[in-house]
Amino acid sequence: MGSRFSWAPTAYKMLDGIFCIFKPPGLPVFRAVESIQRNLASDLNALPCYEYEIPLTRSQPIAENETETSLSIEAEPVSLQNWSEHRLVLGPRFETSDFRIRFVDGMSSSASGILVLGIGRHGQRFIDLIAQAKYLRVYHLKGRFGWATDNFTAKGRVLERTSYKHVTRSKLEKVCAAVQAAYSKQMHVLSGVDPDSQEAYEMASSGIIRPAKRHTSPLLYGVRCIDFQLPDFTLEVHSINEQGPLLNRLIHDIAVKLKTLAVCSGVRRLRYGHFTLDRALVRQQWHLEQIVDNIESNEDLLTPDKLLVGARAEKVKLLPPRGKGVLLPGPGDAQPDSCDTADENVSNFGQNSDR
Amino acid sequence: MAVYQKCFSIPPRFLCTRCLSHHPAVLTQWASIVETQKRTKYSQRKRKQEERKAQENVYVGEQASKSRIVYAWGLAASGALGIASYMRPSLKFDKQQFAINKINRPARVRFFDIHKLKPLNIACGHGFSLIHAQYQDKKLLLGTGVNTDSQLGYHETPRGSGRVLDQLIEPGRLRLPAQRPDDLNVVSMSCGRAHSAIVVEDEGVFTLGNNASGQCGRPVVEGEDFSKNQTVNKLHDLPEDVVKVVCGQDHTLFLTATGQLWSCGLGADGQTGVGHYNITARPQLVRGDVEGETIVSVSAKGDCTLAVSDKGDLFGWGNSEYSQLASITSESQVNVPRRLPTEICGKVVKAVAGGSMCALLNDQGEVFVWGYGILGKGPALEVTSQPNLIPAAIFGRSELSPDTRVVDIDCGLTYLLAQTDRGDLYSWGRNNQGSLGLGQDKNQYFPWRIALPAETAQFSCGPDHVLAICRSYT
Amino acid sequence: MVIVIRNLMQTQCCFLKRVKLLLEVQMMCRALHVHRKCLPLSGSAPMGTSLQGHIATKYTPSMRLHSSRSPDSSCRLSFRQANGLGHIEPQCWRVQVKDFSIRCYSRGSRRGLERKRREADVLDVAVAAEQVEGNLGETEGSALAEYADDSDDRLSIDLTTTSQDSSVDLHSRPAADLSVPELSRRAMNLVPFVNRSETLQKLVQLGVDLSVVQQVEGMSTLLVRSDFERDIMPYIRFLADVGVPADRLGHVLTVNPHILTEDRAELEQKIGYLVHKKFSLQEVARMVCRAPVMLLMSPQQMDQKLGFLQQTFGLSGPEVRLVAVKYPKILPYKKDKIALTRFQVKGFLGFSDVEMKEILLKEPRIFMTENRQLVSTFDYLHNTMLIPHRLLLTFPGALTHSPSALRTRHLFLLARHRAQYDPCLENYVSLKALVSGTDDAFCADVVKCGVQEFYDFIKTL
Repeated sequence: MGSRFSWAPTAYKMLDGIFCIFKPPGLPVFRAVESIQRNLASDLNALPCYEYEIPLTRSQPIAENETETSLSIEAEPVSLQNWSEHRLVLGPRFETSDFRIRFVDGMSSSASGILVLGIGRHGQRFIDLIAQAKYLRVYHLKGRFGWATDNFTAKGRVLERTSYKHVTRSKLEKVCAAVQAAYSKQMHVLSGVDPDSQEAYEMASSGIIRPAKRHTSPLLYGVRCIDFQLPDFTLEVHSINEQGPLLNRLIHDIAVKLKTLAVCSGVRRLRYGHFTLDRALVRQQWHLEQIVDNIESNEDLLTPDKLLVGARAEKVKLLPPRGKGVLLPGPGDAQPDSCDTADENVSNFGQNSDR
Repeated sequence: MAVYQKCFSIPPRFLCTRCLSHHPAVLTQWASIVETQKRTKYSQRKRKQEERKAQENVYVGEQASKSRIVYAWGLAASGALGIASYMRPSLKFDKQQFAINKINRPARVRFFDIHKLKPLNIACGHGFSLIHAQYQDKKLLLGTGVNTDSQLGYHETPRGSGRVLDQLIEPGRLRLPAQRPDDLNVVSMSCGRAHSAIVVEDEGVFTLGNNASGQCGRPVVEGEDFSKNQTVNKLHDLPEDVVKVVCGQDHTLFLTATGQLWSCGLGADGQTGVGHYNITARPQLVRGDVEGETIVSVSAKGDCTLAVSDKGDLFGWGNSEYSQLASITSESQVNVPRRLPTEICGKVVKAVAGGSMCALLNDQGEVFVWGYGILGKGPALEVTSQPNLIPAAIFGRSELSPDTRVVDIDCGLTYLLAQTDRGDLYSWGRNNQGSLGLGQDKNQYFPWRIALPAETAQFSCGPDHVLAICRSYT
Repeated sequence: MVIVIRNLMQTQCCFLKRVKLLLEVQMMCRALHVHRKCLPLSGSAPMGTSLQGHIATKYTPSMRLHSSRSPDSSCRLSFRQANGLGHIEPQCWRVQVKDFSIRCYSRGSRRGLERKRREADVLDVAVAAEQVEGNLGETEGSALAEYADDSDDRLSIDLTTTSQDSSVDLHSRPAADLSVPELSRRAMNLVPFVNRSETLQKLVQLGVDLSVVQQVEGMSTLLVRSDFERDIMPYIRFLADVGVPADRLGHVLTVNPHILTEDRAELEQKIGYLVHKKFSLQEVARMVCRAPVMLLMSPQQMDQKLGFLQQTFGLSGPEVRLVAVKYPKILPYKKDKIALTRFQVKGFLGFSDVEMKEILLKEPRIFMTENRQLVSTFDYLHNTMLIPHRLLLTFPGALTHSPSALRTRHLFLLARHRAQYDPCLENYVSLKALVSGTDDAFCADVVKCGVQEFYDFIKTL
């Protein structure tokens, strides 16, 4: 199969940005990352990595029917002057630890859904910004009435069984509304605004209030029942700063209010802010070309107006877009005064770009 | 098990065909006893687990209906909440417990759970409350709180001893001179400052309590002592079809089925709306702009009265010192009903008037406020004569739940409450004795949700306490 | 020598970690009495920063030489020995410098020893080089040149050069001028030798992966020492005689370099044994290609293994040969493990002896798979997909796949109402079609839809 890349280091340099994957259930996040690293290493090593592997005479990229191994045998001792830079002497050029991948807000191994990853220098920087943005996440939680386990999931040790025939969809929806309203107060508390001020009223009138700090207790902005087939049901949850155990527990608490019990049989993350499932790469697509394409397609989501959400966005003057190297000043200094220094930062990036 | 693990490194585990559990296949000399014990324990555990799985607990039957719960908050020292243990802690706790003066978060009134009463209707007044409840198949009227003016009737316990109660700390039964006193079918009831009015189906209106301003609808008796007074007045000067009664502080309003308004009581601010500022001892028909209109709702908690017609028009009269009626007049009192311009509000469904603030609810579920005080739009808005909309987002409307709307509002003298269609209660205003129910003692400048663990069905506000009938989720 | 620390200055870890790392390097350098030059402490360093200094006798860490160019620009540390100081004792310290983490292992540490075993044995190389040259003696007083970048060398190779000019300042002396003994004392892998050694060059031409072979203990010594025509060609001829095709020779030597230490006569004997057991030469060639390690087994061992297979599974003669040829890797595989897997397959999976024989004949690989995966895959196939044993026998290869891959495809078929695994009914989906093939082929042939729909479905799981 022909790759559109003809020189591995060029392709390596393109691995710089944000991409999102669909993490399948049952796979821990760190294994997913390892798998991606292995795939990238093997994909890049399959391309010409050493100088002799591209013949000096030809200028166009390698044609489809020529593999690099055949090429290396072609470019034999006649053109080979330095034996020490041969693949069979030095070994593969890329290894898994060359790919530094970070992720924002991982999930438990039994959960599935979109996971946002950053690779390369700029990618990891953007990860910080995405984390600062405190995007809303949307989950689909599947539950089953009638069981209680020790860890609130379907795989735990069974503690109790109850009847559930009395539960109707309207009852479930009422409880979901109550849960949602209970968290709305938390929103105000965590926003860090004085509740007796006019600003608090204006924030409340605007609707969704984001917390001020990065690490706060979980906030649920919406809980709705979207599917109800006794004993199974599915809830759609919009939240910030939640973790797997909280979502499992939520199912249990809702069931207790309905005088029954329930376990969580599946967690699936549909959205992470602007990143939706249609952008995510499934396991079969965790390879070089698809990842590079994904990185390119996500670039339009990394503009300042998308990264700065919430009430703070209006307070920061936006720079005009200037290409890939544009980054606002780093986390913590999103103030109007720093716009002048932002220009310097941009130019610095130009100097420090990779060879 | 621990000993075994310490002595030996754990050999690989296989599925044992005997006990069907995973345990080391190798049985050493040391481990044989421990191993056997472990196996026995495991199989016992396994059996217990299977039993647990097989047993199904039923917490609620399939035909169970939602139970009704009464929650109360505010000033407890008056006894109006109906929770006796707040005033006499020894009733509930053996150990020394302090009496609770006020409670600023919802508290469950267990009286109704213990005595298996089903609450149907509630009304709150100044330091006392009336509750219409059903016991088995009979309906009775209960009252609790301050009884200094016999607004809750004559309670002598023990009977015949001469000990007449001035205050009830738990709901006590009111006996009205109706045709069937044991089964009172109350249509509407209301409490004022020191009097109460009850409309019984097919019988008429009964009033009890203070009549110094003729608010009970009977002629004023000079020097009448209202405490320990057994007088219960049945009004005859009203039409037969009175469906609603609303008590202000010292005046009473009666609404008939045809939409006519009658009033009696103190008129110093013109709140009776009969055209003069004197006392009205006998109920009189309210004229003015209201005449000819079909009134569906009327409200007066202080000295200002607001009425709503079926067409959605708003009428107001009474006190206007706080710009309640400033949209039509600059005078401080209006004694004849006048129509208020509420075109921006759409079709009005309900209007409430507190001591200095007014609020109205339209058919879209939006709330408008005007008047003076903590109106609910932040500390910046303190006084306004035009109705101002409170954004729907405050009551929980967002892109995730776009059709949330307010279905009911009510007010005390200094605060307001609103109920949404999801059963949430929001309160805002000046926090009088914790009557906002938010768990804090400070004022609230914009609507904030009350943490009730059930959905609200109806609620009633007094000047310093609130009662709410809620339904459980199942 | 040149030590490459990958991405030292461009580490993405936080500033404090970077400083800590550099402090470690500094401490190490200090312990080595190495003078630091241009060692930046903060910010981003310009590329090509080098450390030069002296190495003392006391702590003489040997640095793992990894002179390949990292994908990104990297910083190089170069050490050189000053006059009058001893040579490096590799056993004292071993410092592994790789991917900007410097870990120091002391002599007794297990990890250090393991690494030592895996990497090129320096002393042997040095000794070997000495023997080749015949003369070295003490080089206490000699100063060794700085190890310059190999790729800059374009000079001719002269193995007999023994210039040990101690008086010359050797800062910038190119590596090509160094003699092999001088070189060998510092080399940690075969890279510096390749340009000088025809043997190594010819091996590379053959396709032998030196980066893999040099990690085998004693191999690099042997290769540097040996002469291609004299030592290695005979084995190549032997392999060619056996029937290994020319393009697979490199692979065979890479996987099993120990073949070069085997006695020629013994090798012939092993092949003779196999031929005696009625394996044809093509089959033997195929077996050697697929499992070169087999050539290290003595005829007795091979006999035992084949006999074990025959007895355990009740195979006839031709069947044993079939299994050995089909999957020759089963021959060097441990008997105990095969027995254990067999026990699992019989006890847990519930296959009878006859069925197991059939599985072995179709897919011997199953008896070499991880037990846990085997059981979980079988559990999914049998209990969830409800595929009976007899159907599994038709394609036992399904058991080697991971349950998660099976799950996605099965659920997709279920969603499309095509999950029909009974050959007696219509719309039958065979196990082979389910399990094998790329997603494109699977979607096009079995499900008759596009791959994108399959991926969209996976995202709903």
